[in-house]
Amino acid sequence: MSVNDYISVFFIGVGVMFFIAGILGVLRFPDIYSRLHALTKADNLGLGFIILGLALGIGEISMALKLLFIWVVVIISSATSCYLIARAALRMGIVPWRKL
Amino acid sequence: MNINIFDLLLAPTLIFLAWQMLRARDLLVSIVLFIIFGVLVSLAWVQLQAPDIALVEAVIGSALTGALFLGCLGHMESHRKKIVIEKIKISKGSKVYDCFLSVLVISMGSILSWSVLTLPKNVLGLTDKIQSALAKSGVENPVTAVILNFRGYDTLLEMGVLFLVVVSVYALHAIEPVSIKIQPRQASRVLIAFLHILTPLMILVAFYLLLVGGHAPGGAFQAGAMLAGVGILMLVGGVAFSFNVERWVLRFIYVIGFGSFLLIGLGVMGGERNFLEYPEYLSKKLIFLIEFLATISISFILVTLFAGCSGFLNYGKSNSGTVRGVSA
Repeated sequence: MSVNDYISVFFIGVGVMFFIAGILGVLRFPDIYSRLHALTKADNLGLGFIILGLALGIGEISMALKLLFIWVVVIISSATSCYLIARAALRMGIVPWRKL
Repeated sequence: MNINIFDLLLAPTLIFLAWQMLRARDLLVSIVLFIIFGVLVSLAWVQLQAPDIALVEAVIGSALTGALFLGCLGHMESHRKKIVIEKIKISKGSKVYDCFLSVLVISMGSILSWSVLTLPKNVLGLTDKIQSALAKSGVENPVTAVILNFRGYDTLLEMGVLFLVVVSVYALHAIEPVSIKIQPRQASRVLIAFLHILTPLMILVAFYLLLVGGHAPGGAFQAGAMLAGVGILMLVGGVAFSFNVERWVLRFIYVIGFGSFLLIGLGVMGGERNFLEYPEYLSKKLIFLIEFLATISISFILVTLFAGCSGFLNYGKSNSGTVRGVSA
């Protein structure tokens, strides 16, 4: 394995850590709003790091651009769906959790 | 056989999800599990090196069917109280019945596993035949060649089924005029901005899928489903995409995919040629024409199905001549 491969594996590992944190957040956080927060972090940063790692691993500019494009589309849709879910939850009258 | 750890994780997860999906008491949970199941099935197709089917499974099996189910559930719940499936009481049946069922399931399972285990190893199936005939088919992607040339008859019938489905949606929604309406709802500005970004992209991807079908994974069904996705997003988002057409135009669009396929199939007959046996020099153009028209038909049919399931279809007499997608 070359240095490039190590860097790429490192970034993918960081991305996986974000995903694990996101899953833990969804499972453990008290209400829907904080869960959404955890989920979108996993989407944005986790996927971002994984794509960064993959792009470095492939080392081909056209593939890297395609991967970057996927990331941008996922970010846009995850932000939108997060907003829509939160809005629907607020309209249903779910009160954000507060520490007692 | 090379089994990797990913497959070993994927297979039990699929079975587990299917089981959970069937025993979930809440329909919403079932639908969400169904969508996840679809995504994982498409991953399984990728693992089997069948990217064409993976694409169809992801776009139609997971996304579009999921949207149909969700829309249908929302529509049902707006009319009734929340639907919860009562837990089915199987244990109340007699012991004999239980034993009979167990024996049946076990024997079916063993027949299936026996037939899988006795499969001849490393068989290429029809690969050789298809590869040797590929040059004559007019396309370079073997899957497209099979779907639209070698086994065009099957695909023709599939288009026929879709056409029949849209006819029955109309039949179910009263006899007379059907038009697509949008209930007044507050469209979120964020969603509208999102659609402004996504819609052109999705249309572009749909036509890319259609064009690329000749030599790489893609084709009419994927492209049509992608275009239908645009329409469904617009319907749900309440975005104004007002286009007034006479009713016969819409009917023409529903028919054209199936009809043109049938007509082309009949048209190439004569002399030595059979039904759907395209002449070699024309086959590329004919296949593209069929796929293009099929894409248009499929997308409109699928959007109509979604509209029918989710209560967007209007069967009032008021605006009978038009199809409108306008929100307040």
